[in-house]
Amino acid sequence: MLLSRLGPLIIPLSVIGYSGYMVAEQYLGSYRETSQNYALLLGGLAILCALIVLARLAMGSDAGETDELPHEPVPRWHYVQLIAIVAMMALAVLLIPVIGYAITFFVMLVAALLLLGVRSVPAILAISVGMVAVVHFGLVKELQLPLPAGILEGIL
Amino acid sequence: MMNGAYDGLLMLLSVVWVVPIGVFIGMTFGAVPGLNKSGMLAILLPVLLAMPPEMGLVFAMSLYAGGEVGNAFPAVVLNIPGDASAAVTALEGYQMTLRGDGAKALGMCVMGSTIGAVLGGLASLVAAPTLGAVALRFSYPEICIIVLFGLAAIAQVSSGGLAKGLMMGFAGMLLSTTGTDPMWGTFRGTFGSIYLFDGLPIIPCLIGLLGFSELLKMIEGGITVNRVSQAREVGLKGVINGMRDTFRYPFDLLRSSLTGIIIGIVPGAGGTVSTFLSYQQALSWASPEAKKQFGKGSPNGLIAGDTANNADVGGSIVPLITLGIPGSSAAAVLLVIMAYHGLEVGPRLLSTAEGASVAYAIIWSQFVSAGLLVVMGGLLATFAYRLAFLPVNTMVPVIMVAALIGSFSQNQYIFDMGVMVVFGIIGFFMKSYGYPPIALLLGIILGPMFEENLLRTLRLGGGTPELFFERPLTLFLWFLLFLTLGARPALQLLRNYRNRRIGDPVKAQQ
Repeated sequence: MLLSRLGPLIIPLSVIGYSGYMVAEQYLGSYRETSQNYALLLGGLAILCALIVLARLAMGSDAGETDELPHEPVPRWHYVQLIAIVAMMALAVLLIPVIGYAITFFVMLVAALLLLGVRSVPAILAISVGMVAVVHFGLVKELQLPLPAGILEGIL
Repeated sequence: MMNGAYDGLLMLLSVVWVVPIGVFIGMTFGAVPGLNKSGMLAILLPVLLAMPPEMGLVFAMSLYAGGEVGNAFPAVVLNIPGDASAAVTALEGYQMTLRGDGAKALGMCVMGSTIGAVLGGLASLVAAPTLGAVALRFSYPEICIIVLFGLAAIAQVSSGGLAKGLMMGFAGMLLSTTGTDPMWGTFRGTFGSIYLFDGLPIIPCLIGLLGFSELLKMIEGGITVNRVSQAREVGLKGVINGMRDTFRYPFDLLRSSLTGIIIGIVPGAGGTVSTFLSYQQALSWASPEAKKQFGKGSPNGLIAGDTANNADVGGSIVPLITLGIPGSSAAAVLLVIMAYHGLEVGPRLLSTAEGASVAYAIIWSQFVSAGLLVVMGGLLATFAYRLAFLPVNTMVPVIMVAALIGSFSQNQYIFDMGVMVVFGIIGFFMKSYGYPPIALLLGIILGPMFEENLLRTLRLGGGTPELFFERPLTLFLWFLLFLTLGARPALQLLRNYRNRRIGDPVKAQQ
């Protein structure tokens, strides 16, 4: 409910915040005039457009959706899955340098498969182990992609 | 130019073996509901970048062409469009399947797509050198206006409206200033991170905005696993008959191809717009008898949608090659590949020997792809719709890992994986509330080109913007830009005025 009300505001407010930050950085940081003016030009135009979008939203003349078809409400479970997937990805980014790509990807794949409703243990193991094997032998060993091995450094 | 065309053909011959692989993979991905073409290209970007430039670009074009046909298979047989551009195909094709003409409908889709691809290829072959010759006259101010023109065109045709599109375009250009100032060497918008000193990494942004965000939308919409009990019999003989019957509709084929090409050339419009516009045209041009068939399995409607969908591919690479402005999200991926390999992206591409050869290799590859669409499409049509039964919930985690690795591969920073996740979330919110991700992406990609040319113009003009208004070519481009920005609001005002005059207050308010 809260998301459906605030959702349409997220993007224009983020644009205003980011543009404001970029312009302020230039002026407060005593950058060269050319650089300041360029940031002011782009930031100003972006903020102007964002204000128009917000005004349209306030007047109710912008539904905020990509089409005009009636949409069924999204079940709460889908949002739980969505947030969990994003959290998993963020956690993976933080953990890869520490525990390495092999363990991180394996755990992430198992968790994501379970979360998305896969219940067959052989399928979960086959996909997780298979994907990690493809990454290890295909990309790291064959193509020399330097993914961090983390705690498995020297073993892999 | 002729040398470029010949060299391009020779270049294509050296990498032609990737075309059937690309068409096959494209058709296969295209047949999986939920995976759109730009998302597929974004996920496969690390593979495309690892190849030599000509091979990567030809492979990407083949994937693009194959994906446009593959999305029709489950649409016709199971009423499950592979992506939004196959909605018209599902509307008419599935009705034909219900009355026992499924194989014929598939044959028509494949043949219509092939003819659209050939005519789209011909259009790009003719239009690219012509427009390229004009583009060679462009100097710094013209290039600036062309970048603005690209953003304005995308903003104008995007579903969210002009203000949303422009806002994202300018925000993208502002984001592109992240990193070291090209003129003074100061750091801008880096938030103190050394990983951003070289600028915002484009590939993680692209994978996030086009690929990961699509995955999140898929999860939000609910991952459904289609059951095999829905399978239907589709025979090869029926498919061949359908291919033959397509030629009974020559006017639909030509008109839809033309629509697809023109819409493809307009930046940002893309396949979905061209299919619906072409379908609407087919409806308005149809005879009263044929009109009754629309929505009930009309071959005219089916051919109109699929032909325009593939002709759009040829159209979308014209602005990419000649102006450096992609006509679609998939063409934006091609632009990133070109830029990654150091090709002179923009109006100068066709003036360099290597650039011209690569550009023509891309153009020629469309004809090879088109030839393969008939053969492979005809064969795959009989069973590829079964790919809609693939359990998408097992594919999503695999694509997540691929997206992470793809983001890492360019600079080999873990930081870039984080950038991908952040832009995936941004892309998700943008898609959810009608903001065009392609506008943001275009701003990020073209921002440095705009800044460089703007500063040069100002320096040449002694600090004043007078060079922007001196040459007839710049004045003409300004006129085009204002026409692009002003045409729709002006038409709306005119319509309101007319409605008010005839006394219809409801229509006037709308």
